Amino acid sequence: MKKLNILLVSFICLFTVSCDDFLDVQPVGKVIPTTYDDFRALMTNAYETEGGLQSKSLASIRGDEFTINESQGDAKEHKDIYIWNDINQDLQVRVFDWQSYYKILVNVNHTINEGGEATDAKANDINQLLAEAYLLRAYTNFDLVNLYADIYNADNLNKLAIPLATEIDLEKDYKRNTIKEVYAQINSDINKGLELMVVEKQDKNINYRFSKVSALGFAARVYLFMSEWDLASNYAKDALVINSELVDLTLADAQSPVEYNSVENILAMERTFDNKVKSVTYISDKLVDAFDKTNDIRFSTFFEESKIIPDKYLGKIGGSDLKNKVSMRTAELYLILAEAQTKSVEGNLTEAKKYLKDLLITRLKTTYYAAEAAAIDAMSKEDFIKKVEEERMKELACQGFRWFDLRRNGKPELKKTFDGKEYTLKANDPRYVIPFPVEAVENNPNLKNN
Amino acid sequence: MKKIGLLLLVLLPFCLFAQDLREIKGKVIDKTTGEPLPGASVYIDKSTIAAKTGEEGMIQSFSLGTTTDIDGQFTLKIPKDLHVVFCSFISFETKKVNVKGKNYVIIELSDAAEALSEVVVTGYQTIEKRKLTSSVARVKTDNIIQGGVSSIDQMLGGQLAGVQTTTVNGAPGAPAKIRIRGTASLSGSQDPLWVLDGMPLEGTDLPDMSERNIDQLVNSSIAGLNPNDIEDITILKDAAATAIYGARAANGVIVITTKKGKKGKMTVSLNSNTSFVMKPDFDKLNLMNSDDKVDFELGMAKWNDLDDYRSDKGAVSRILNKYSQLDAYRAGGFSSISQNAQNEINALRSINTNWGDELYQTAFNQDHSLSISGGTDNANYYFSAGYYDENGATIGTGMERLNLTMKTDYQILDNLNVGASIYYSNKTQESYLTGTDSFTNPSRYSRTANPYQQIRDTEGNFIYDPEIDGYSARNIPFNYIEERENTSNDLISKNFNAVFDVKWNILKNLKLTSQLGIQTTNSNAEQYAGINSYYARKEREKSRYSKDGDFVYFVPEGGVIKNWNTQDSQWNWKNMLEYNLNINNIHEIDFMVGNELRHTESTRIYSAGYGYDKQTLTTQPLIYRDAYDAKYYPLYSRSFLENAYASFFGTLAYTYNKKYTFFGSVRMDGSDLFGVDPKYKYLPLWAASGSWRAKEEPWLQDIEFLSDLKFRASYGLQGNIDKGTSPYLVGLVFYESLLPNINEKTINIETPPNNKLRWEKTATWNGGFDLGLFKNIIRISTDFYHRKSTDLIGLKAIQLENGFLTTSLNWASVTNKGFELNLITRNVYTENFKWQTTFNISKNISNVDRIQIKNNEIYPSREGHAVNAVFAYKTAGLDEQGYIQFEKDGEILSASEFFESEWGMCNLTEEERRGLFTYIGSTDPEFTGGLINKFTYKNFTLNVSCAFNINQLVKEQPFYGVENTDRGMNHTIQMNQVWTPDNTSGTYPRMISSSTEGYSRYSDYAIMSPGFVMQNDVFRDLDIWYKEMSYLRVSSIRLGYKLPSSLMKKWGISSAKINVESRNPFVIATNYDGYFDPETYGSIYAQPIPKSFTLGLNITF
Repeated sequence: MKKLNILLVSFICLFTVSCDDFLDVQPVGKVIPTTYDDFRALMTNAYETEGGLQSKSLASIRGDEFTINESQGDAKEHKDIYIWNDINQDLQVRVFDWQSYYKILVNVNHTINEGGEATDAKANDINQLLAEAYLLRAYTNFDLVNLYADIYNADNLNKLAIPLATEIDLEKDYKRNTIKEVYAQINSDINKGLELMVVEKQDKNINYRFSKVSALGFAARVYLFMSEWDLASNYAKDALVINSELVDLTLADAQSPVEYNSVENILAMERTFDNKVKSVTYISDKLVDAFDKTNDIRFSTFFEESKIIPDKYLGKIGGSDLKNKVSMRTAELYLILAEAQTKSVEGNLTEAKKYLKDLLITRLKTTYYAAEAAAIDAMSKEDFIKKVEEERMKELACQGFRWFDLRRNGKPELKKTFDGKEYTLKANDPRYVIPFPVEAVENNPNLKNN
Repeated sequence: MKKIGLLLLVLLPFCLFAQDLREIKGKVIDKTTGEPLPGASVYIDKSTIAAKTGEEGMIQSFSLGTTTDIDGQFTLKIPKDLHVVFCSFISFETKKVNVKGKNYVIIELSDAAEALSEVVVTGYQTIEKRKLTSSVARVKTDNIIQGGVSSIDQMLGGQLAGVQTTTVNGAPGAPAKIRIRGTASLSGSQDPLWVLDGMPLEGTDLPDMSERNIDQLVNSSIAGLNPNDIEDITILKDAAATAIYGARAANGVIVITTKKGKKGKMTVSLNSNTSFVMKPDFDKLNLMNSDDKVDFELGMAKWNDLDDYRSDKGAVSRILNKYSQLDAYRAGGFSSISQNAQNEINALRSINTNWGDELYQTAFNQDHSLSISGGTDNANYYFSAGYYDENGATIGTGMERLNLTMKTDYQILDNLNVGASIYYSNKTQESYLTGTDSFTNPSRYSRTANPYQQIRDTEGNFIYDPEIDGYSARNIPFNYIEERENTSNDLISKNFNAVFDVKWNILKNLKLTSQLGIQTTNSNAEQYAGINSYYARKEREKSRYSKDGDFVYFVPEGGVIKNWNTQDSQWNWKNMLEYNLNINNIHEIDFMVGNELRHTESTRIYSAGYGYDKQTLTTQPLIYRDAYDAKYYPLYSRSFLENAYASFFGTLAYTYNKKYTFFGSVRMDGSDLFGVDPKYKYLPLWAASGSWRAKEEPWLQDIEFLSDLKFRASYGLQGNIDKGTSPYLVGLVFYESLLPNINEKTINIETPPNNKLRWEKTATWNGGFDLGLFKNIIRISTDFYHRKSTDLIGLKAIQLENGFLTTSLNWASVTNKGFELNLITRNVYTENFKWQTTFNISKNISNVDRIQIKNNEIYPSREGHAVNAVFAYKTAGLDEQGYIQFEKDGEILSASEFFESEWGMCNLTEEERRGLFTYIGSTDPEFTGGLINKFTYKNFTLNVSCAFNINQLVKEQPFYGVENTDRGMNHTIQMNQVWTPDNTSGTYPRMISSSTEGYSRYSDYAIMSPGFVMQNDVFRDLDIWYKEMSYLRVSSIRLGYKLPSSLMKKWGISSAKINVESRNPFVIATNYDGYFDPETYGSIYAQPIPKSFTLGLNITF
């Protein structure tokens, strides 16, 4: 009878005992981010997504750095982008990223909004993590606004740009913010990022993460795009204080400067020249002709001649090789300084020229450099501005800058041929703004009135 | 304690003999047939004696009873003042017999199926049938068992109204697809829940068995059970019946009750079947013979516009090219080509490899089981062992199973009963290996291999099929027979189930039961390909890359072996407290509360070895180039999944005056809710139902012809929650390289956090009646139901600014409604000849009330149509150039007009493209059902079982491609109905290329070319491939002969039966030319459904 009592009691207990512990099963491989480690992994995923985006590669196709190899099967996927045809595109055409950018923002926003509550790490580690999150949000919004909205200038400030996402809310009706609002957000995020930033320079094997030097460099880039020349100069100078090194290409076994662990690569985050674009294009004649093929060492560093069609050149950088990831180099800082110093009211043209020469001395063969330096010294302000623009085209070739620079530098007329037909992008053509992807508009009608 | 027990045993007889005894004799017979029933138990109820002795507790282990002999006779000594004895027999109703003042009694037992006091086992409760309020169907295994069939699910076809059973593949051990009352879920599982003696089984959901997966060997836990161990099967259909099972029961519940020992002397039963599986009729496929094939290839060679697609394939092309005679042939016909070429081509006509003989066989199967059962007052037992060995009609397929079952029940105390059951099986399934390419599937290969293709040359060496391309245009030798000899694909499963029960009658009306069920399944799938196989060659070829100007492989030469080891286990602990109250036989109350805990674990391990040598059991290393290779050639992977569930439930039944019954049940399911909103922790489900036994009303009592009438109605609410969606941000952990030489942890969020998720709700109405007419000569049972599922979780597109394309939202809604009719008639009933017919038919109409599709979806939304809706392009015959024409708004249009396309461009939006489709019907049959006739003549019985499907839309596999007909493959003789410039009476569209008709029809060609303009394959989506199919399959004809008992008695055998059975002898169906069976119509991968003859013997000692 005693046994029966025990049975009865245990049975009653079963009814009353809380089942929460029994039901608390932690699934393998699934996690709700709570610790510093989790948030770091969430950020790593965001960096990884950023690294795999295709928009900058596609924007290059839209620009003037490439001609399409029409005999390639993949040509079809790129043709409409190449000839700026945005209406009734081929179904197979590659699509500019939209959702992926916002997917990065989900991770980043969650880190910004919740990551501070992770208490299992040193304050410095958490500050560094938050700093990176702010900067990555700024970086993402900066790319979005440059792809899908008009340029930043006094006339455009109230034009509609992209919707800003700063929190996670499935019920929110996303509406487009103005160019002014977007840049305000970018500037504020950069400032917060700089405030919290701890690491001066990242170790080369985690060089995809933001550091003080790349944050300052990025601030310089943003202000350059906002035509805030003095701010651009100041941030670029601050960055150069931390790292001013350049790869000297004149040395016999110089490393390619775009490689993630070169002395001048300060942010190895993106693949801006992807495999598909690489396989379907030649380098445009315009870009090839801009170089002195023998005396400019960058030419042989960046390009190689096609073995099939002579006089056609293929990219050597980019592709799927992880070592070719590059988002920012000190070379860009020199170019920013050269441009900003020239364009600033209080600018110093001599100093500006010095920055460009400091860069070129590491890029050109010695005798050719001497001639170039003399020519630069002799240049008027206007000529020098053109020179800097040309040097940006060469130095930053196939690294995701050219389309943005074309927009920034007066949206010039571009001409292309495909299948014997000629296509023109007129000066100031509205197609300098990329339409929102069809899928994005279908899911959010607020994006319609572009 | 032990000593006291012994003492009791010694003393007991004295207790009894202390009383006066008398002897009664009698005979037990079957009430319906009048046959004597040997082996029936006649006994005194313990409590009767206990009451008589007035010393409760002293008599508890006392046993007094006997069993009837071969003639149904018995003799029993009983206390003089005892007036009641009991009589029971397997599958008959237990009867209480008044023996007051009688020395000889004839006890008539009625078949339990016909008895009103019959009980229905729901897995939780045992409900008297008269109190039943819900829609429940029951079938006894004895009535449906078929010889040479491995598993109970395959025997259900056509047996029960509302239960649709489909054989998707005729492979040995292939599970049957079962749908109870249509398809309720749009995305989740649609398979019913199986329950074994109260324990819900895991591992019964079938994987997707469509084309690509059809060769996958599946271990369903049902297939581990020996059908001979199963007593009966109860199917719970409506919400009132299934609500007690919670969310898992949304697709219906199938409750298996196994056999148990009966009180009485030991019974030994031997069941033995030997079957011959017929070789399938290969001619049914209507394939071309060598003569036809050569003519076909010559026909193809003629048209230079068809040179784009594999024009170098086929022996004729090869010969013409070898002698450079193609131009000559095109210019002047066959007679103008060189004599050598003519001779070689003509030689092909005389070779006719019979692929049917190479791939299929007549097989020999056996199936034996032996059971030993019996019992005393205090214990009963049932042991069985079974051996099943099936060889498939497809060479190289088979299944072997060994079963052991042990069941015992002990009455430990007067009010305490414990039981233990153990089921063990070891099953080996064997099949062919098709992993690399679908053409290595025998069904498919037999259809496409050229009839002039030889297997071996005169020296016995394999001849490789030159039509097989290999990999990246690199030839890899393939020979079907060599492949079979050098590859294997096996699945070995060990299933272990154990159920422990405790029943404790705390008070007279209060009962506590506790059941612990344990299930473990260990299955090991092994795929092996030897060095001399296409499979192994291809695995190696895929790893080729160039290095320093040379080709190298990172997969070593040799065999390939892959193992998938799966270990699933669950335990399920269920406790129930039941209280019954009967007030003056007018108010009957049954109340039950209980809880259930369940825990499941699943571990999967994959391992692979390359360069494998079967003799030495050694493998060789893979020399990967980079992480990418390693990712695609994994050597080991492991996954682990764990879930826990806790549930609480209760039922209340009230019966008034034995006429009106009301029943209600509630259940709350909780499960491990990682990341799920705590407010959804417990899922409430409830059902309410009622029944009215109208026949019991005084005003119906006198109506003679009405023998039974009962009405039932129920309403229930079921629910489900999507565990994949969370209000929190839940991520999956990966390891990735962002830069060289470093691998870091990343967390990827796969679904957006969502705190707006609600229950999926399914509300079911059920109404029905059971009617018996003319002394139950006709019995009708009908149910009508309406099942509406709302807030079904579906993917809904969201603004991409959320970072995600779609999220799970309570969005879709589906309605299923239908009826079921079950009719049993006793057509002839004389002493020597009896004929009974069971007929059932059911109809289910489904409708998708609300659903959202993706913007880039190819096919139209199913909203407003059946769940399994089919959309196709409406065609209107061929034009004078043999191109297919379409119909839109009564107009007849060419492809380019219909798709508004010009020069390979189509300006229609995705939505407009979807609008071109027409809804043409559903792949669900309009009616399904079965017809079973049972004849008895003296010692002979004849059972004829049929299952039917009426008006089901089926799709024929297009037998050619309009722009990609492969001349290197064999085709059906339907090819002669294809339009060609020489055969303008052909009804199927001509084969085309861009240059056909001198490029003038380029736009039409572009539309028909898959992926060129249209993303889908327009040709395959034409309405010409669909048709309505109806069939009646005679699934079994079984003739049994029961040997005369007088003869058997001499040998000490209590009964012996011989059965001859023919399974699937024939089908009456709409034309299904080109396929083996109407069930697998359109599938060129399915194995034929076996036809077999079985000789069976059943002996009981």
